Amino acid sequence: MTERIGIVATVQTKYEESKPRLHPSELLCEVVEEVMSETGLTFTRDGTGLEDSVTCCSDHWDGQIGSSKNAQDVAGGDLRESDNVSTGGANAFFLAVARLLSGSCDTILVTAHCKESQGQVGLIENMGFDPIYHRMLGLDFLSAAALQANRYMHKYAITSEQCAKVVVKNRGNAKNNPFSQAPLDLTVDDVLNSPVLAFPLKVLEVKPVSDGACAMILATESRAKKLTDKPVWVKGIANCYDSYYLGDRDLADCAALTNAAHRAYRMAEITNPRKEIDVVELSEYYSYQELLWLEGLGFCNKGEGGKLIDSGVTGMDRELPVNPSGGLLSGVPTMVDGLSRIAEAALQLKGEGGARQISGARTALAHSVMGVAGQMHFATILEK
Amino acid sequence: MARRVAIVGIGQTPHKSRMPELDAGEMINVAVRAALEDAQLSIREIDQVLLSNMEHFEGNYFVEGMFSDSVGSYLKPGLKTQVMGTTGASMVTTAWYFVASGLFDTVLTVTYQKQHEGQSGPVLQSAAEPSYDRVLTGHSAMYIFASLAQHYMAETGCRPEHAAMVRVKAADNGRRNPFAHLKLELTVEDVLNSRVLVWPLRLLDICPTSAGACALVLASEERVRKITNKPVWIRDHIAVHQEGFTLSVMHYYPDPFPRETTREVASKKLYARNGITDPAKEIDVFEIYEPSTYGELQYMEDLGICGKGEAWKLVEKGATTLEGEVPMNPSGGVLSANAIGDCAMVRVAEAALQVRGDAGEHQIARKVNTAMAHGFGGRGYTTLHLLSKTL
Amino acid sequence: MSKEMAPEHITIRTQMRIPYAYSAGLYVGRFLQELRDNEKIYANKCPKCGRLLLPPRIMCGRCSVRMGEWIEQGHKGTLVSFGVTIEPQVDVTTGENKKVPFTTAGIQLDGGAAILHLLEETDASKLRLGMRVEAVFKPREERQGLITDILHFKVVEE
Repeated sequence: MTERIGIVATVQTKYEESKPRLHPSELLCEVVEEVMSETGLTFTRDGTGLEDSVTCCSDHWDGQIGSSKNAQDVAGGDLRESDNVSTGGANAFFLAVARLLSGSCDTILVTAHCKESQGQVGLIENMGFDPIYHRMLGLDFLSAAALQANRYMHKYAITSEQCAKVVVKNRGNAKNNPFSQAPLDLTVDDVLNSPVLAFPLKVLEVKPVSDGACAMILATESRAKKLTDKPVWVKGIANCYDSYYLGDRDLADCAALTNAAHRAYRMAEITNPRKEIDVVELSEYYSYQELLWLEGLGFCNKGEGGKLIDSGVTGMDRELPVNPSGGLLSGVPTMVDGLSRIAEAALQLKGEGGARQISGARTALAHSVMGVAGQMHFATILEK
Repeated sequence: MARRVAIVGIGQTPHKSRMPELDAGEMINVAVRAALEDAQLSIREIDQVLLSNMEHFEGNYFVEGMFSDSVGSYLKPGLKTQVMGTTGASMVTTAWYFVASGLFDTVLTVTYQKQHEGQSGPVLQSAAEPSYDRVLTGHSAMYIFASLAQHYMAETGCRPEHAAMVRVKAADNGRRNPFAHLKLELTVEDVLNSRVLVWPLRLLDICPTSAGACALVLASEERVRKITNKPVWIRDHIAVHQEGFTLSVMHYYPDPFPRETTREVASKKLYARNGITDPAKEIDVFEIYEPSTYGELQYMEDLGICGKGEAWKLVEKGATTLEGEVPMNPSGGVLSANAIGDCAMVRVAEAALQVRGDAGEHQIARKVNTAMAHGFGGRGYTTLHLLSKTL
Repeated sequence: MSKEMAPEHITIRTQMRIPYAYSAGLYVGRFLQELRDNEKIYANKCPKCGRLLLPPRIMCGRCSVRMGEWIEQGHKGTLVSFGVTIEPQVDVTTGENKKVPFTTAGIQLDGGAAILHLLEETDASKLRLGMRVEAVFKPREERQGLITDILHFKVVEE
């Protein structure tokens, strides 16, 4: 990258199963106001303050076309440039990074909001399947994930106990995160005994419905240093798509993730992720995905995700803490998910992780995923 | 310092009211192949693939994934921006950012729409705030344009015949554009006799709904030299958005709290930073996003192409035809093809064809060095792209 | 493509019904309550630019500051724009055709804010800009906390 891009400040709402009192614009308004006041920036039109933003929300989840207005109105979009990305908050971040690197601005606001509680998750996700073939089968992301879980567990002999350990770890980690929706003290048996939603996935292995928002300010190096004494640098960033039809790929592998991860590592000059990354915030919509994504990210060999969690190495006070925030399994909405991973990773590097702080964290990886059975993956490497 | 970026490949499908012979993916692929062939590149040489449309018109979700095989994003990076009618243009701008940033050298950006697969009317109506005026049957996209028409006529002395002349010009140009949807033979009387939708707006005052796709390949300055000797440089671009909590009175005419439109704000900034003081003279051709005939007139004035109240007079003189002094929408414009997701990108594509001298029968008469493409989005959003043959 | 793949154009027809439960939020929520319970129409005011916005909302989009005072608008206003829709269209909330003709109108309320709503009169020849209009509310038992608790505006002599 031609110059350094820094994360200046991040704000998240407390995630909740539903926030019926607030309109999506009101939900986002609070985090935007907070991140602006934290940096002392105001919206201007004369080149002196903040004049650019990239927002993320979804017409489907906000339930109307032109949903970008819910964000633009409170994110300073009036008479300014405020593009809207619907491929998830991490990709809104990606576009914001590109905007800074292109020289079009030196400071930019990134937002993401979503109220999953307003829609019907399964019906909306069903629209993510093509209307000619897959959709007629009544698929939603849960049933597609179940397909993937079955394939993955079968191919590599991943056990349900290993998947359950992800849930126990993450829901337990969430207790340390003041933003988390649903921290829980669980045992492996609790998870295994919870009702089956789509075999083999049980209700505790599935990301719960959630409402929330996140806002972040990024800047080019010299500006970032003026705005904060703890900038977090973006060292590598990439995303990648797999093929669309479920039958076209081996769901037990995640070639797109490996592709994105390699690009990001190369940009960040990381050759041994296991050693060089201090903390990981990844997007696990379902329990097994944490194991599979860790393989794709190169933290262990293919098929060894189960062994990795068994070793305990991904626990809070071990060598490779994964999802100290509690991850998505503890409740984070789609669209916000990727941006909140980046926010959590940034908090770690700023030393603002509070009870979930991983001591001495210098390099973090934040990951996001979107689409059926992880079709699109995003990864970014951040450094103190 | 931004790297300079040029359009090196242009592809479109013909726009039609229905395209039952292709599914959306196949349709996208036609535009993609056309753009790659135009650029003499294979998909392997593309670093990033962007795909967008307004998903609800076909009832899909996450189309950038759904059509990854057709658009060519398999094992490649990409994302989608979606900002109502300006989506097509925002996708050009997004590609521009990624190339100018140095993150990628060659980017393919694609937009499409297949409106006959869904129900456009109710989808458009869903732009109204669900907690407030979605339930009010009064909303219609038609009414926005009807109020524009009433306002324009009241302010300028324009008569319906002048709007009809705009439509006749669009039809004349559309017939010469192999990619346009409507290629009608029209007279002013035909337009004035077409049925009223929302007075004074008649059927022929408004754009059709179409199916089609458009694809552009953008490349960085160093790459450009290896690809083509006819690059179309994206000299500048600007996007100006606007508050819009609901499709309320402020989006109709008159605005109860009037101020400059986003078109005026955007064009003034763009011209100022490019040293343009007389756009009608210094820009050779314009492709503007005109969902209605009266819209073309109003937008010409807002964009500073002529003074207030002057647009209809220019049309009356024949100044906006292919041979005129101020050629407007040589492609036939949105009035000739409206696949909402790709409309704003088609404006850029058509402006680029003019700069290259490749618009065939709808190439304007005079030499083109600079062209401007305009995009319009439902809540009054504006995008502008300034293209030129030379840097 | 071989000749044997006779291209019959297969069309897959589906109907989608996706229920949503939209939060009106703190601002529109209160606005609708006032309509339903008190027959009052409110706008809120930006403390910076002074605009009165209807429906009330959290932030002035132009100034990026929180909106301030709530100001009652009264029931009367002046017609500033109107359009009679003749062409039937499908209603996104019901899936059925809207009943035509209907008249959409922009009304400048005496309280200072402008509202988009419907007019009782659907004959364009009987309407003129500048006419005085008044809100007609549905009876209390029919009001649900929706903008349609105002049935329409009717022209009044003054």
